[in-house]
Amino acid sequence: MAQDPTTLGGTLNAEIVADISAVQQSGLLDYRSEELPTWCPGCGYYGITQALMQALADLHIENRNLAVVSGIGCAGRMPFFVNGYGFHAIHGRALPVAQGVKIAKPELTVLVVGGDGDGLGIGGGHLPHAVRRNVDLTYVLFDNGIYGLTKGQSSPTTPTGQVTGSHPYGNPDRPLDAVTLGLAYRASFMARGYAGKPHELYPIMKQALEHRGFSFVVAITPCVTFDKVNITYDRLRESWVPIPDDHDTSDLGAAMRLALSDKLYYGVFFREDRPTFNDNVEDTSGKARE
Amino acid sequence: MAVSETTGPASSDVVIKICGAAGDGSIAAGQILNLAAAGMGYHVMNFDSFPAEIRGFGKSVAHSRISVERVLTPGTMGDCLVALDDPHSITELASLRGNGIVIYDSRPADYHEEDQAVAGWLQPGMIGYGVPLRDLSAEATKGAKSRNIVALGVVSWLFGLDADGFRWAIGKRFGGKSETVRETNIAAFNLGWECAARELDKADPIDFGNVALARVENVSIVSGNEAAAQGCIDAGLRLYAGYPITPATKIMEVLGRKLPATGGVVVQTEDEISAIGHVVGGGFAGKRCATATSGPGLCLMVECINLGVMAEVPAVIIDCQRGGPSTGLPTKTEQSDLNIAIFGASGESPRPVLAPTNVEECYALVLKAFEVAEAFQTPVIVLFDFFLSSRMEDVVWSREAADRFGVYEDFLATPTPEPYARYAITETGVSPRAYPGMPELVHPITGLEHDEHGLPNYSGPVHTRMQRKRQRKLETLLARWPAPEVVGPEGDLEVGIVSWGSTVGAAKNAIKRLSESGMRAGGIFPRLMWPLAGDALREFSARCGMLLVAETNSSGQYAALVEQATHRDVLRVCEAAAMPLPTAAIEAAALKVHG
Amino acid sequence: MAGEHYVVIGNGPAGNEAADVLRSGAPDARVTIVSDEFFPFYYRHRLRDYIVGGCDEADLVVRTPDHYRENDVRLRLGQKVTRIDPATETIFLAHMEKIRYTRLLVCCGGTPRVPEVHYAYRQHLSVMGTLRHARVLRQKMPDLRRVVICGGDMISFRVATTLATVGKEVVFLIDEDAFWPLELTGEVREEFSRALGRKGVEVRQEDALTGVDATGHDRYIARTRGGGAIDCDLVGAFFGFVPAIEFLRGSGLDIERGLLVNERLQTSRQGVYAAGDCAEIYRPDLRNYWVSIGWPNAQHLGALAARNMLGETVDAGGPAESVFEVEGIRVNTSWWREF
Repeated sequence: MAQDPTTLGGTLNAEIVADISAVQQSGLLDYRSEELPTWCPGCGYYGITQALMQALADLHIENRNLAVVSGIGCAGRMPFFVNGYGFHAIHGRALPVAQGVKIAKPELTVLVVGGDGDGLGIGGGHLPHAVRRNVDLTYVLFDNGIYGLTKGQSSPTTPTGQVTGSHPYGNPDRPLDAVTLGLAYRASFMARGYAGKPHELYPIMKQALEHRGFSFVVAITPCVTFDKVNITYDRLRESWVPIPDDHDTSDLGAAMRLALSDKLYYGVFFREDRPTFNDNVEDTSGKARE
Repeated sequence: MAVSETTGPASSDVVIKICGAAGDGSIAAGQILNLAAAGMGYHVMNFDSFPAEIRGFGKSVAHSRISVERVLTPGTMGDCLVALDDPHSITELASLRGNGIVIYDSRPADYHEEDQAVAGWLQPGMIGYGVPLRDLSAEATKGAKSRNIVALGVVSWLFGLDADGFRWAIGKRFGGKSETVRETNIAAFNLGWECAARELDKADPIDFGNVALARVENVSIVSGNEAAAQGCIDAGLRLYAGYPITPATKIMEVLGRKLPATGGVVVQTEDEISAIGHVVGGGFAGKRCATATSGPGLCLMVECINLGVMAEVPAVIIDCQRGGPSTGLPTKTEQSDLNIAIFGASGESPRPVLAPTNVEECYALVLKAFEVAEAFQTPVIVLFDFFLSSRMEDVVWSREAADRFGVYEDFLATPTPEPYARYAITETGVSPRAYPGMPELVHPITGLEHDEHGLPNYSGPVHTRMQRKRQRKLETLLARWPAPEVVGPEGDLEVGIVSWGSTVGAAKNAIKRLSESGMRAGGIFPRLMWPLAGDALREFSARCGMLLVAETNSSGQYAALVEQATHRDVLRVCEAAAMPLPTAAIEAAALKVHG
Repeated sequence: MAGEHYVVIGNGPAGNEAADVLRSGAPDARVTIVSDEFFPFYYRHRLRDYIVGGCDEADLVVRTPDHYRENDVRLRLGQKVTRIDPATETIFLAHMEKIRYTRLLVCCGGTPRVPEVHYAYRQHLSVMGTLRHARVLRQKMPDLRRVVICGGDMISFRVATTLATVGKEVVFLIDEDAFWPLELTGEVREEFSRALGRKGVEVRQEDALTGVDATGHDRYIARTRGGGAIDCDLVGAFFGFVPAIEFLRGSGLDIERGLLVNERLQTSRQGVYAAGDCAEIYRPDLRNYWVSIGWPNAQHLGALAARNMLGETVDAGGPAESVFEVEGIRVNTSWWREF
């Protein structure tokens, strides 16, 4: 239930009022459902959501044609907060479900969201195939290096040495890197962004949504409740480096070098235009009818 | 003591086996035989067996039963064995009747070594017809490759199966090939026929009289899997997602060829979980989607099916049951997935389960499954088995005929926007459904328990009423679905036989035989396995002195449900012996207890 | 003895006795009987009752196939031997299978003989050698009113009297030239005629068949030397048997009418023996060959041949002791010089 904040008791700072007014006019509220998110205060997911919705608004995606599919986890809650057709599916299976939605009804805009556990753990086997089919959907992986919903166990991207619920003596395993994987699978659009900078994340989201093909965006975010040590706003702010302007996004090798470096690059790593799954379907139907 | 040479099978119902090594063309000859017989108006059932090895060096036996009446079971023993080779045919003699017929090559390239000639193994009572298959094949096609077609010429003459019917079938079978190929094959057939007419002394009584019953031009000989694929196409399937697994793979392959022309899509996914994920996603999007698998794949799919039940999303899952558990017996038939189909899930997860009993029903029930899935907004599982999937029967497609299982389109209600509740509680349990693309009706769906608006809600009252709603949908379906088929005389019965799926053929045969021997016998055969037709079962049970349940699994999965519903002990004729349950087993069980 | 293969061609009394002896004398060897008839070992002498419906096929059987299985004898029914090759010790079957033997016994019996003088109308003559012939006769039996019998072998008498007993009109032509195997003296002829007459058979002495014309389906006119033209439904020809050994021509075995064997029933080739109706056995004292016919003789010779095949040295000895009793007359049939 959205209350008009300007009518709340007391006076508000004019700046805040201006901000509120700007948001109301930006159109992103059209994409907010009436449900209030259940994420912790300070969670990076708010930033990601804002960036996404701004991108949707810019592109004037119709609500009725918006499908948001998620897995299980904190990120999985997103469909409830979006004003569209949401499908909160099962753990690790958001990509298959989302592909089914898009293949069945290509006119829909399909957004898939999930966390690092959902996407790289239980769902890890589905990722390469969704990528290689190049189904035209946008997959945003909310990477916070932890299993937050179940209260703090290690995830596939938890840094080595971190103490977690499943590793009281420190995580011995090497974490995966979603961007490296995405490039290895040759995602036709591969980008990374940072939840703490929604204004810089939003153009990435927009490009991802516009791209014809499988757009893979990794959104790095802290979990303020279960990791106060490694992946934090402070540390991320320090290590965050934009991809140089002279990077050739069509050069997969260069993209991979950026991904493999010690620096935490953000931006668009790689992009190529190739036939989408539905392009190929048209082709096959054509051949079949001959 | 069978010492006579002249007793033989009735000529209105004959089992012909064509046996050879891989490459001898036994299967192809069987297909032509089936097509010829069906084209002449006979009913046909075909259940071939293939070499186990991928390389295919083993024995290939085409097994066809041709009858004036609709064939219910393929028959265990053959009446005629066409021996295209000797080593394999010798082993096949064990499945030939004591007074059966063997057609063999009287002029092989060289003398067989001792005991390597099938004609040397004929038992007293069997009739052997030797024809120079190789020589005639060489005359027609300059090589030994058409011995199988030459043999068909012999079969045609011997059994009075109209030669023109065969020529038509040969033409059709080689329709895609060149004129020369068709001509040489027809020449081979003619040579076989003429040689038989000239040289053979007919000593057996099989005679179809060279009469076509009623020409059937548009007949198809198809397997259960092919029928399933056609059912999907006729239902307007938009997306098929599947993973290769024996014996379901053929459904995907047939759809892969035929679906694209209709605008549909076939996706081979990376695993079964992805497959069912695709199907549920597509169902959510408002389209008809399906997958097919077998036991091990169904195990993987259970979680996503459960999601479909909870979120009330339509989906069609065909399970081609095979020997289990685990990897089990991939190329053997069994009916042991009933439990997982009905109950496989965490929590209370009611979903409809259908089971066809023959190939035409494989088409009709798959077609109907889409309607039921959509109307009741639920995954529907259709249980086939290896036997049904791979056996072939003559079928004439008819969408209208599928409506004998009810019509459900009236359950599709247009939702109204304000205020829209996806899971509104209704009397039938079915809520008007909106799906992506429809304006002003956006809502989330979830595998969490939810309220009428689809928002997660864990409270007791909400959970209770939602569970009841989901259950009520099935009760509504049960009330609408036609009562199970009941056969036999009215009134009291000495023996009642309950059966389902592919075992029904044998059960019907058994009832016929028991009745002929004077017993009051009847049967009840549901196609809707779940929800359980409790009232119908109880009503039938009340008439029966003895109630017997026949199915091919060892614990009696349906028997347990029947016992629960009828509150009585049933006699289980339940065998999981890697083969279809024979008529004789059911008959013997009934006689033993009653007899 | 293991690894040896004893093959017997013929599933009659000789072959079966031989198989019994071979099986007990060589427990480890393989024993195979090959017969071109589909029907198991049966009583030939019961055929005359069978044709008039006095007994059924089941009553004809001496041994069912089970017997052979139990005794580990491979019985091949309905399989015809087309030739044998003693050089390679192989026999060849019509369905193109070859079988190697260590020792071979030929006891394939005889087939009904039709003298050349009757060749012109042989297709109108009915014979009765095997069950196959008998089945035909049995089928025709209800429609037969009058039957003409000619020839003079033992079977002819039995058939003629049996047919008369069931009410058929039987005309028996006695022609001394046709008689086989015994010499028909006037005395014997009289005795036979009386015996036949007592059973209701019309006997025409010193009459012979000179022609048969078909006048319809299973209707004939039988013309005789004495000027008769008998309207009948069947003309039975009972001129004895000839050894059924055509398939042995060109095999290198010595053959005249039958397969020639020495006193130990060995043929001219090593490892090949013969017994029963198909064999001509050498009598050193006569420097000539004799044939032993009939069931008991066949049994005796079959067993004897088997013993020789197993390595014994046993002579066939003189003419068989057995005599036939036909209609009360004792006939010695172990000796004949020519047909």
